[in-house]
Amino acid sequence: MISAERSTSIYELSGLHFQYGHFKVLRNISLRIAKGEILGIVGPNGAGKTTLLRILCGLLGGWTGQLTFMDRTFRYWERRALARLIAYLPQQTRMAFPYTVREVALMGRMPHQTGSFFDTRADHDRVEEVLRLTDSLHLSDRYFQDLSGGEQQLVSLASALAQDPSVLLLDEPTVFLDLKHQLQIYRILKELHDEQGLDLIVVTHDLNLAQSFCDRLIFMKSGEIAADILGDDGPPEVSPALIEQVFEVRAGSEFSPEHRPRIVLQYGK
Amino acid sequence: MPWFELKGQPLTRRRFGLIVGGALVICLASALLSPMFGPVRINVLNAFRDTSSLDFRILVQARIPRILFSIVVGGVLAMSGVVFQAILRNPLASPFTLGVSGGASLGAVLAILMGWEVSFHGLSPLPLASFGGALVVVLVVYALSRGRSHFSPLTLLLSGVVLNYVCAALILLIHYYSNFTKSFLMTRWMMGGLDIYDYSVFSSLAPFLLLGLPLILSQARHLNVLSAGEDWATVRGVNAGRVMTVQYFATSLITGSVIAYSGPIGFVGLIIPHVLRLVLGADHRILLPTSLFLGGAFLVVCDTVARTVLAPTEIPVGIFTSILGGPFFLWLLLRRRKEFFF
Repeated sequence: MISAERSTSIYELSGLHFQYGHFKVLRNISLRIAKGEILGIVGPNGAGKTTLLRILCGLLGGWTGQLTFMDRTFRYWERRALARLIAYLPQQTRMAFPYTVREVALMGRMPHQTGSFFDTRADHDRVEEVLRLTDSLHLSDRYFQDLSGGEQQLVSLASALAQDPSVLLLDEPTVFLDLKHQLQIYRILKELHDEQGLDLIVVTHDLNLAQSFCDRLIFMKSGEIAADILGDDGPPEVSPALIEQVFEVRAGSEFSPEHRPRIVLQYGK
Repeated sequence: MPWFELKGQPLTRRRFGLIVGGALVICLASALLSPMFGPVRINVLNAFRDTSSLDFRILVQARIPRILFSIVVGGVLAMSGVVFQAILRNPLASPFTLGVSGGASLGAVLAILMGWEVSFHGLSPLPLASFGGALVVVLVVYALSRGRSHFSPLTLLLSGVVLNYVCAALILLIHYYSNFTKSFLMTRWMMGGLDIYDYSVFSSLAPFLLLGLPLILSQARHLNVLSAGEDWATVRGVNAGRVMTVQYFATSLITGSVIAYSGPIGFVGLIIPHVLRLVLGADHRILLPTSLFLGGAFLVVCDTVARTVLAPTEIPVGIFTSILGGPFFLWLLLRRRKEFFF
């Protein structure tokens, strides 16, 4: 069922193709991403997940097909205007120079700063707010490079949120993090989605997390969408058969103590 | 807690004014104190009291142009160093990493080989040849590193380093075919020097500086965002490729134009950006203007010492900046090891 809230779309893709040389990375992707959704993109390595995400961020050109963002053809969007609506959180961030946490978060204000040499009061207030939201206000004066991987990812998230985006695209945001920081990041994202209406599109390899976190899961394989599962008032249900088809591994499913479905990989023959 | 922290604090107008103003004061102080020193001691007050005195002529025809030129050269090299390190995202880069100095030297050496070093009618072909050499290398490096879609720092670095080697080989070849006198002149040019006696140098440099410096400064904030890579900058609304291209050409051209007259003077463009980043933090809005003033002051001081310490013999300032800068840099590195990271 598509509820009324989901009727407005943020992205619409139709017949999207992308290739590196002769290698077709994305073939004929058609997809409508609705407002209010947490969309998970899963699939084996080389399936085209990251390529798709990079196209949606505006980081990768050279694709063919139709792509509209907020009812306007993607190519007509100005880079700065896009940056006020779309933010991106990569797997990890490396700063070439020693910036403080506050300076890193302030970099997220860039798309809102037109021609001003100094940061405004409003910029500083927003930065303080996003640092608080990401539990990293106490790190403000520390150097980004001195933080742990988990703290760095929280600060990168703060910098992305400082853009005041309406969509946040995440590329395996917790792949290098310990369990505590993984859960912390997803808890913060969930809060932002529920309380501030931030739309989330996340590429991940963690199927169980994807299943419990996302409203909708897209399975990609060899540059195509193999399955598109929309959870109906609950987590999207993933069958072991689909896992076997997409990932070419044997899988089963069982119920967790909280009666959530859980994917279990089966080792051996 | 001290009343004023040099780094780690948010940039405000007051902070910017104090730090950049302080740098300007240091620069002016070095320029005002330096004329007192030199192989010949002159009395500055006397010089102005009697404008026909030898003191006045030394001051106006030798010391003042030399000091002004030192400020320009030191400032431009230090600021270019900041920019090159930022666009290559590599703290070991300097204005000479990408072959600007190789091209400039090749052009100059070629001019000396052809006997073009004598100036006539106020037009001196040597700096023109040197600038031409630099320009060719800058364009070739750009053409080589411009991929199908974007401008990658790694290919830029690789093509720059390769071009530097090619230029060095060609310079050796030219040396091999030159006589002793010319070879000596070439070597002296490549040591760098700040001895100019002609104010027309400044009018030749003015268009480059007036165009290049504001352009570089206007993108200070973009350089901050580039520190975490092109993707990070692009999603924040910055056209990373365009910023890198603009900064690459602007710094290469001002560096090329300045070293066409001074010859390559090493270390300023490496050490000043590092020291300033260590002391003032990494915000390019602070780094660019302070590197301009303090790079200038540094070269004025080095040059003053280089021409007085063994007077009447002068040490070429490029040799001196390296002798002075190297150990100082190492001392900083060892003392504050934790704050550097490579």
